[in-house]
Amino acid sequence: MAPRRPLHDIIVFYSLALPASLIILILLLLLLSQLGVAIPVFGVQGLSTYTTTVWRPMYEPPQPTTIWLPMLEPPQRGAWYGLLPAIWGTLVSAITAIILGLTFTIALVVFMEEIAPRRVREVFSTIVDLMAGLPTVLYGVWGLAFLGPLLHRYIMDPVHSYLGIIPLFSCEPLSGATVFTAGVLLSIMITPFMVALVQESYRSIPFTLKEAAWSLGMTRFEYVRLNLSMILPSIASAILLGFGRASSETAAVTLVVGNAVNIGFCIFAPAYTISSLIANQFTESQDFPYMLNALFAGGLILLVIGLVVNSIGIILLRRVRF
Amino acid sequence: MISPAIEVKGLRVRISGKDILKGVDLRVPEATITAIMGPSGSGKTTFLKVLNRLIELVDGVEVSGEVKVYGSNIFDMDVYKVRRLFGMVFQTPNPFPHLSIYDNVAIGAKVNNVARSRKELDEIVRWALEKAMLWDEVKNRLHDPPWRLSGGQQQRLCLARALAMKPRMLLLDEPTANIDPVNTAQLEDALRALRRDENITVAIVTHMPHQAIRVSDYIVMFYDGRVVEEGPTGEIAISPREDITRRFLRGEM
Amino acid sequence: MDGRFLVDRVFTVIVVVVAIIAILPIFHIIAYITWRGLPIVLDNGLSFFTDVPAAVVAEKPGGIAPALAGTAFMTITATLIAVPLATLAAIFSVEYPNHVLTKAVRVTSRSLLEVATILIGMLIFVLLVLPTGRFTALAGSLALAIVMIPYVYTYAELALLSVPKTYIEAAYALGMKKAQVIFYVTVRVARRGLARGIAIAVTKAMGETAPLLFTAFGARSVIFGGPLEPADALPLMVFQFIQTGYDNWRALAWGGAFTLLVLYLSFFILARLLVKEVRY
Repeated sequence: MAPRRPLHDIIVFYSLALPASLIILILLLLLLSQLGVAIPVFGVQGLSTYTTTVWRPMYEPPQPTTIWLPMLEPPQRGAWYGLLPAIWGTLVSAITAIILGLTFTIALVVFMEEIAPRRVREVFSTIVDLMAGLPTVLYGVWGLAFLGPLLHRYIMDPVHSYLGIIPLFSCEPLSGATVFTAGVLLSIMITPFMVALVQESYRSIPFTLKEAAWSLGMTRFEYVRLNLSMILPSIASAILLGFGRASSETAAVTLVVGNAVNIGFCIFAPAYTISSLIANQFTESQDFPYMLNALFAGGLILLVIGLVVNSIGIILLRRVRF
Repeated sequence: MISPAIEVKGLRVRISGKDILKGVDLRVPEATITAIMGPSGSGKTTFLKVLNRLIELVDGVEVSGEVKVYGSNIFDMDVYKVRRLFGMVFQTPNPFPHLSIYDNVAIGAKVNNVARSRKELDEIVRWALEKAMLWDEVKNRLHDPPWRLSGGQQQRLCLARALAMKPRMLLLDEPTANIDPVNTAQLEDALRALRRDENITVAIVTHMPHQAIRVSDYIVMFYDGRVVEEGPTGEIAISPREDITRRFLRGEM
Repeated sequence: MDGRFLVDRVFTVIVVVVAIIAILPIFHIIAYITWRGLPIVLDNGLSFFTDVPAAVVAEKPGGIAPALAGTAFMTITATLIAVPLATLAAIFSVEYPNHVLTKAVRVTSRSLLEVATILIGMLIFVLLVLPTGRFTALAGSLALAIVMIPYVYTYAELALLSVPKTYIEAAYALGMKKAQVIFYVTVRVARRGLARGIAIAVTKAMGETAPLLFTAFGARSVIFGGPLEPADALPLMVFQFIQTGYDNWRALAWGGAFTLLVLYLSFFILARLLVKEVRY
């Protein structure tokens, strides 16, 4: 026979379940509201919202088009809100960020776990924590006033002059505010997060496996390579989750990315990211019909990218087993 | 025995599909010290935790059978009322780390509404610490945190905490397993004094046959989830009826 | 034989160099922002913190009082909303670990943690600003509260889980009821870990810009108009003013950036001091 639950316990259960449910409700509202406000622009522009490169705010609303057929060229008349440049900017800056960020991350993890003496490791750990929480607007302000001009003069100009034939570097950088700058700044910002992930995974490698490697007479380089290969899923996860972080960032990116509607192979040009587009164009959107909806459509795809990338990243994290 | 404090019939406990208690029948007499003894894994601790229904905190536990405490079936009562009948001391000392020595003892009294005023609370705390034979050692540092005490002292603090509840019965789960011989003797002295002066019924789980013989008036022998035999210590110690009991008392388990 | 060791050497050098490069920026950021911002604060003295921003053509830039007031109000109210909500949800997760609601809350918390904070601002925009037609400090607080919730939840759950079960057993054995065990024992024993989670969440909320863009919106004429008026915040002000063309206001942005930096470093140190756990 099972004893009855006391009334007190039942009250406690429902009292605690309430705040838990509220939090879940918040997420649901987030998903629904993004979708809800985006739908009107889909009704007019359809999927072309994501595939066109023209951003043309006008008082005259966009011409209705077939919503299921994504086009590349919008109608000539009326406004049009194409998000492809912003999507491109987000992707390029995020990919740049993880390429550089991964390099920093691996170097930091290997340094802290294998090379640095204990005191130095603790100092580095604190510094990384400090970087992790720094308000993003401060990164942005530094990027705008210092990093941008620095990259412009010492990297982008020389690279453009000498390697300008390569499409990647083919445009002349007009200022420090480019999608490349955004990528570099983001790489600095996402590194602490990636370091935490990879480091935890690296530390979970059982000591006996490490002993075995040493006993085989491996050099440090070979040993590290072996360890990293054992935690490859974590590294992949860090890449994905870092990508998610980089694509979500708003304040810092808006200040350094240039905020111009652009798309192309060259990374030394100014651009928009989805979040910087939203931040930048928001005040305008009050005046132009459908612009706000288009911005929410941008938010929607940002949300979807984020959720997908993060889910895969977390599944990968669980794959590290010994 | 006239009106046993505890009467158990057909108690079965299963945890996550595994049978721990396989039909326990026993009686614990009032105002005595009863030793519940047996080798490790015989189900003694589980049995103890059934009495104050602490076992229900475990995931996947199934309990069946009849357990009567002072005549009432504990499964028909409100679980919190059942727990307040018993004061429990655990195998490893566990005084609350965030409370002072005084507050640790006091919380036993406060939760059970034993004291009506600050003055009464002070008296109960002092009484409990004296009965636990700890008062002299802590009377000048009642507001110190408990981790300043030795393991043996912490265990006596836990005894005081349980006593402050003014329970009718004390349950002790191998209380001296992790403390040194001197503190063990002190704890055992405290129990004997309690039985003599306060008429509290004591059930003490132990896997050490010598302790059972030393301390108790009544013995219940557990083996493999069942009661093998029970009786006054004098009889069991000299001439146990069962072979298992004999082997356990000789230290062959 | 030698080839392997040469590679090893080169590898070590590269790793050390790159690792150092990776952490150089933060030092430079701190130094640079101090270099640009401290003089502005010093030049204007106390009035920097007590005045409103001046007109763009004025001689002196004025002050950042609205931003400070807004940050203070919104951070405190956000904390008052987020902490009870998230802590109770964490208690639920620890008390009923196998319940489906617990798994749902964990997934929700992780998602909220990773979602772009600008989207959270957009949510409150849709829920509160659009229907009422006004930007308010309260909207900003709500947005910040949502940003804080996953942080408080995650750290609270960790702290509560690490309370040794023996204390919980002892509490029940004393006859305590569930609510008493939770609030007199579990939460109290875990209080250091809980405080640390709150400190981390507050630090995060204090530095966020994006959620406030469409909720609090910013204010410059009045220091604080009340919860139902638009409000400014330190990161928001820095973000907006640094993009303007006016020297005056850019100066305020740098001074504000320096102030924000100092605030952040202070909270960072505070959170670290709370790391020492209650002794078990």
